[in-house]
Amino acid sequence: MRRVRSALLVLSLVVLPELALAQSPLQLERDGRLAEASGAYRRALDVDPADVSALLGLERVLLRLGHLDSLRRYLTRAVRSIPTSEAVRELHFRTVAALDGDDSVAVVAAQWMASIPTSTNPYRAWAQWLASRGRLEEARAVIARGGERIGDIRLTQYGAQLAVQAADWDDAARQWARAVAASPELTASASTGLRRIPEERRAPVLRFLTTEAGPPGTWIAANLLAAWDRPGEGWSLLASALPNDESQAPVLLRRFADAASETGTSEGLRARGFALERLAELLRGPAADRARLDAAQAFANAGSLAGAQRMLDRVSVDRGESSREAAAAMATFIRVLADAGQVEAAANRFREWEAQLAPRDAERIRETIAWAWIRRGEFARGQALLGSDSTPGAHAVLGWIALYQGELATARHHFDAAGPYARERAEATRRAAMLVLLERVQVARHPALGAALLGLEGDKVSRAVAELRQAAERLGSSGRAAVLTVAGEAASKEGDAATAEAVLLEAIASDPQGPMAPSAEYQLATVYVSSGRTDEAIDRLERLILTYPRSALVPQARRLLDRVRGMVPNS
Amino acid sequence: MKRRDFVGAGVAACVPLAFGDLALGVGGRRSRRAPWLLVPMDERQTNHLKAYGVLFRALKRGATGEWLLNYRGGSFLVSDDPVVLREAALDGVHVEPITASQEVDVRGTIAASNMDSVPLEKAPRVAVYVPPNTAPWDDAVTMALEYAGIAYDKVWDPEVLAGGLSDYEWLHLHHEDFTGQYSKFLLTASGSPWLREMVRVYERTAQALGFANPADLKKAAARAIRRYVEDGGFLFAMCTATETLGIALAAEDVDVAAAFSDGTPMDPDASARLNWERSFAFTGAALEPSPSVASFSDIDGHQVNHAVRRQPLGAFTLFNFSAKIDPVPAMLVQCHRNVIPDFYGLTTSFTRARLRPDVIVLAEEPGAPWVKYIHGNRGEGTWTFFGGHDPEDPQHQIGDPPTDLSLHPHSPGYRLILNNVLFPAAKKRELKT
Repeated sequence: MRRVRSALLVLSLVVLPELALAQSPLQLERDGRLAEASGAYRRALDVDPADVSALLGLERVLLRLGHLDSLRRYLTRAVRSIPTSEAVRELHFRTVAALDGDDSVAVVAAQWMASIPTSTNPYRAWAQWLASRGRLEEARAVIARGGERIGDIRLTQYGAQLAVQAADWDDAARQWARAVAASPELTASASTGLRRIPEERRAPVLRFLTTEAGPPGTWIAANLLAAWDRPGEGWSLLASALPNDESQAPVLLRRFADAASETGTSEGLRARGFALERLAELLRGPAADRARLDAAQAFANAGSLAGAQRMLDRVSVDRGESSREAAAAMATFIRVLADAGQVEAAANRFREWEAQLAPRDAERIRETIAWAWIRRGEFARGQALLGSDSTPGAHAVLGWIALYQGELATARHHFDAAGPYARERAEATRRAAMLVLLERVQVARHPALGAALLGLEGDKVSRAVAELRQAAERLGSSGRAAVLTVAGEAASKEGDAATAEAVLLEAIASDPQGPMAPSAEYQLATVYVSSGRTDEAIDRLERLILTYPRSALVPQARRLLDRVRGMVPNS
Repeated sequence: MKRRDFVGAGVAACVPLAFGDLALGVGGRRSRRAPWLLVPMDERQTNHLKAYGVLFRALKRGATGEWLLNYRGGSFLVSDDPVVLREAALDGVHVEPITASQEVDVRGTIAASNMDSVPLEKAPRVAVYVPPNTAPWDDAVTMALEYAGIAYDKVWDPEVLAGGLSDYEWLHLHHEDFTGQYSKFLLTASGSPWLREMVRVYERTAQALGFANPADLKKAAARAIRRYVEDGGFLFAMCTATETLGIALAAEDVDVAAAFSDGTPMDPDASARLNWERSFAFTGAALEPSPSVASFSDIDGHQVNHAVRRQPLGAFTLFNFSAKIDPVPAMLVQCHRNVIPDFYGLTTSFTRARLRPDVIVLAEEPGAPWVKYIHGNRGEGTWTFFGGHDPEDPQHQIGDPPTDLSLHPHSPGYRLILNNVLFPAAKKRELKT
């Protein structure tokens, strides 16, 4: 029995290390058993000194153990065994760079260059190491030497990046233009690097790129102009220098279209539309249609009806099976038509496309067109379009129609039914304000008030303000104060500070203790703020806070007071 | 006057007065209004930051006040005064008029607990060290002072070197790099207009004041600031100013600046040659030799601008000091929150191993090798260092818009800053530790 037990003991002593050996060194590394992983990698390298994955694993483990120095002897053997391996050379360089000083780094880089004379990697690695220490000029000299020796365009790209880092913009532009000439796909990298050029240095760089650097320089300049919020000029440049090569031009056009849309401006969106329109001409079939739909969307978002229409007219999609992209582009287009006042055209397009539109899109477009009718004073057409629609959005629009007709009780009913979340947030807020007004006014019908409120939607706000003042005369004190506050706010938004001040003072005087007084005080304070009458603004805000401490406007008033006094930044 | 010596009579005077009221305050007198307004600083407070401003301005007008350490989040008593009530209402600060009997209850609670009452006598004159150029980063202290409505003056190297600091009881330093290396942004942000302007202003100032370069100018300013503290000033510093002030003082005769700053590279043996006895808080630090790494030394635990050494943010915990035995640190950590989310700065934290043994740690990240908030004495004055840039913008980047404090009226991190502003108003008495 004792013999069996000692045999088992011996077996376990022998077998357990074998089991450990059988585990993958990578698994040991993942388990955090770094010392064991290091042993396993070393054993693998003893068997095959050129095992690159074992070398890389040993580097990782030794770095974490803080014993990188012991990698040296394995590297020496690996270099001897496979002297032309880029991976081994790079690892050797990295290790020496981490452990030793300048001289050793230079020696290892030189050995690497000598053993693989066509490789750009030693120049890149050495230059990066120098640059990371702030020695940019030495780094650039290394890349320049590499360029002279092997003439590889990739080194030009590194050189350009270093020139950017060194803020040597002229050289950066020169090198990027050369790099892009050899590889047009680098246009994006070039413009990303050069977009950091400070404003006062941009003009000479643009001059160089557009006059001395050939088409590649123009491509870069076009993208730079897009990035610097001048996408229209960028498009003109690019359009004049597009290559005939069918593989290069689409890449450049797509890149420019994306850069232009990043500006988020109408000009940028229009430039994107033009680039995609040109792209569509280079493509065939569904790809061309998709580009035109994207262009239509861009033109529509930019408010360019003609551009959007031109694109949509050329899209060869069957409406019965229209693509989602086509429907989305058409939805945008119809909305833009309605907003631009082309209500009939919008309504006709909507009738044609309604079945293909997503239900939510159709609902919103219906409301948009109804709004457009309202703005033209054609309430009946708006009501007819919405029909018996009982969605919250339709109730909201019907509420506005009733309000503008002076049917205040009906308007209140529809606004209540719409609830607080229908349609966009800004409109929901305005609706809430109108509900407050209706609550104060307390009359069922008042056509003059409705007409005056409709007047605020148009471009004759001053007249609408005067009409509101007249409409307020036949109301009780609370209703009068409410209508005058709305009139004062409208005059203020119109920039008519004198009228706004007079009307708001009248509102406060007509019901000084009433529920509208804090709102009128606040509006008056904002009028003073925008007129630069800071002391009077402070006086009004303090009065609001101290006189109506329970008003919901107090936090807002405190915030404005902080801003007026310069206690918080203006944002 | 020696500012860190609290006169025992201050607190002693309050307690008999209170208990005198208690003796009288039986029966019908329980409803009599006390001559105080209570400014609670616990969760009931509606604007913690502006409460400091209300109190500070009251002191400035000659009112008296008391800081009730550890009582309802470090509340205040301030003389009952219509102006205080008006300002509190305007600023949205919650104040509670109290009766004489409630005052007695408050004082009884304080006497029986780890709490204390520190009289506040005079609002300190406040100076903020700010360069004339506009840097693309905000200054948490300036923003806190502006938001709370606490008046301050701006000073910079010309005023500091002309001895102007003696006009102030409290001095704040923020992002300044006292090694004169432009926060070591010269290589990473080269070409930026703000940096060019900074270099121009610093070089011109150095020249005008007779120094060879900004690095020498900054060392001289650091020495003047040390003299200010040794003569009894209160120094509060945040972010890079904490670490670089220490390095500049320790490096009086050692070149620690990169060539882009003073024309010569850093002394390769600089770390070994530093004399930390000349500094406030740190010792034995190793300097960062690379001019392109925006880090100064291993004092900072987080190394935000170093890809490999950068540490993630955690949360720091305030120490609970004995209010009666250690009123100064207790004042500095008064807060309605005990654990506060950390925030980065060019100097975010202070490595424990680099702190001098006499440094008082006010806040730390438990288990981490760094601390956040430290305090100490030098000569007749005191200094307090708070790591990080902006307590409500943990990742603050160059060019970010300034923080709008009206969106953070309860910020615990900003409260710690304002504790420091109010701390010099406390009446002096003998410290027990």
